[in-house]
Amino acid sequence: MLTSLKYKIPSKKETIHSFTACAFPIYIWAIISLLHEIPALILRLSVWDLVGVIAYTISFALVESGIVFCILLTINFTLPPKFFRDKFIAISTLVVFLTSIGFMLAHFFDSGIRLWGKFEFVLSAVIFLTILSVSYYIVLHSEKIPEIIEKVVERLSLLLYLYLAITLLFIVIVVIRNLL
Amino acid sequence: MQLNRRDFLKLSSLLPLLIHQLNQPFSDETDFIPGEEFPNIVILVFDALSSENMSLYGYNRITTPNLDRFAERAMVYHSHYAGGSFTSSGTASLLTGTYPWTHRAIHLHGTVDEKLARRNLFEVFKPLGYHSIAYSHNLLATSLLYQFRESIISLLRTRELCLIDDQFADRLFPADFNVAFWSEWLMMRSEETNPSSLFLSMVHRFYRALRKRGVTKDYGEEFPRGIPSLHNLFFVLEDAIDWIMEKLLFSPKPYLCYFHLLPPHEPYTTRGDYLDLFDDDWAPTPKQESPYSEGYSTQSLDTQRRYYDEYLAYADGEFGRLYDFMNHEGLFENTYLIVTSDHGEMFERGIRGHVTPTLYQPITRIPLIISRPGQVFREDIFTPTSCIDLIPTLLSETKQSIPQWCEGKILPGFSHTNDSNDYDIYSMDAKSNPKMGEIRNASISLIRGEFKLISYLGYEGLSNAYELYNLSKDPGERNDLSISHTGILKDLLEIMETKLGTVNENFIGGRFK
Repeated sequence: MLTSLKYKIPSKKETIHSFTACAFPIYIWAIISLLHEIPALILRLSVWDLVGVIAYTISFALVESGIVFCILLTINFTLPPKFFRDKFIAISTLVVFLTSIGFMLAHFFDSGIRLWGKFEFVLSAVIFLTILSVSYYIVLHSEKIPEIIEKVVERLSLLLYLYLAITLLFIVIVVIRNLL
Repeated sequence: MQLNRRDFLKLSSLLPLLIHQLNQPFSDETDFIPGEEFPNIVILVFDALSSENMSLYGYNRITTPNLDRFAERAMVYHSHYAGGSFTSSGTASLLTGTYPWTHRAIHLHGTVDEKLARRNLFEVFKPLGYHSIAYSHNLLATSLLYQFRESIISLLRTRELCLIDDQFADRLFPADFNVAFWSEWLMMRSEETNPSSLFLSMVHRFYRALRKRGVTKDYGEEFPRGIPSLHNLFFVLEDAIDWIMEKLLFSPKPYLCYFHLLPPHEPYTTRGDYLDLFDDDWAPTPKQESPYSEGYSTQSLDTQRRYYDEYLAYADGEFGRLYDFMNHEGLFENTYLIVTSDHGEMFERGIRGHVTPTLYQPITRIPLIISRPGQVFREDIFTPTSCIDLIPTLLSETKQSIPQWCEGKILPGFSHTNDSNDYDIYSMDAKSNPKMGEIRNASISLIRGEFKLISYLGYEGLSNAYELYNLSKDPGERNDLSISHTGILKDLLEIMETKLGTVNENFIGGRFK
């Protein structure tokens, strides 16, 4: 039991790569949304307050990435190793990326979704779960696809260090704002 | 005299009260004169209350029977104007005695120029030993009150009188509320654009929906059109009125209270007993569509107006409860009760609500009813006045000097000088203008005497457009005189341009001189 539990703890490399998979869509989404808002924010906020809004948003992106990563870890510890742990990076990347696409679509078509009834919600959930299950099955039984995913994530992990450095700076700003 | 143990304990129980009373008048190093009793001041703001929809001001429907009752012992201002067209700018003008071009709370969730944060209603009454209390249902006004928090003795958080509250910015970052709140807004609930949180914003929305369902279950029957709300804060006005009653009775005197209540601000969700109160097929004659029309049909606007009127009747009913309570407790003997609003609401020309660059009468003309301590008769004042006149008036009533930074003047009826008609009244909407920049993109209205000029500056396709109305002959602003009365238009434009020139001249490089 202890061996199995130990096996389920991801290595340092796996942790960094799967955390990258979590952080990448979350940060990209936050940064694009911020860029979209900045022209309006410049009108109404002082430079220091504008920096504050960016700092809170980016710091929150780190928290959000952490929460999503924790959910992945929970799934990993819950499922038998062959369903998740054996291809930890590839499966966690797949789950996070597909879910991100789903949430992005939900945000884009928000006004329409607000008018949805039960049927539409159930239908969209079924479509999403079908796509996720099929993709999951393919990744689980393929040798090549997980390798490709891992290589992509490895390259993206460079971005993670950049995100973390920027976030650290913004966390300092949040702390200063609350101490002043 | 000998004190036994029981007597000593009895007397010691009075000690906290004695300390409190001793501390009260001498808590500040001020020019407060011991022994002089100042009157209490209570300012009650009903958000988005337009004079145009009040029976007190001649509206066709009996929407405000209780305010009508109150007016019988008060000064009623018939041509009173908001400084701005929405909560941030209108409230900031009321609380600072300055126009938006000075205070700069010109955007949604805007706050005043930080350098002016100590120039506010609460601060000017602080030296007199007033116990200031403030509350707002509306988070836009809360942002301002929060900015003035060092001048306010007791500031109640919005959530305290709400049924549901899902904010976390003020809980986590109380020292940086305004920016944290704005960030939370962008992360979680941004409506026109996407929220910047990809996953948690959806979870948050789901959580909100669940909580809303719970409240709807509890209060749905009482409020068939939905529970009164704004920004996902749900409340019932009854709770706020009960709390106000408690404050008026038990707060240390003299007190200065600012209560900013949301009804009749949209969504117009009246209580069941006011539902269909005005299902009477009445509708005003439609007006010409504005160039800024939002495309609402006349029929849809009439329905919305009816909902607004019914919501207003609910607010008035609750005011009636407060009025009776104050009467019963004899509070009017030593209290100024001021009922007003931050801006109006409109249902005409294809526009619904108040998020519009237009500055027609329904948006800018707001009620002002002031009951002096012990007043028993009604006085009607028709001279145009502005919300920025409230601070100088209250200061004058308490025999204080009016600070130079205050742009208003003492209200007619309180002033000992003759009322003049050449006092210029401005209202402004400048949401597209940079906060700390010269005023170049804005709509500004100027009222001088019977004429009203509305000028649209810097709007795409409508730059330098003007409208001119004679309010005494045409209170409904149906006939634009800007082409037929070019002389008056030119005069008023010159006054406005001179004023704007002075304002912009004083403002160099994003800072006031």
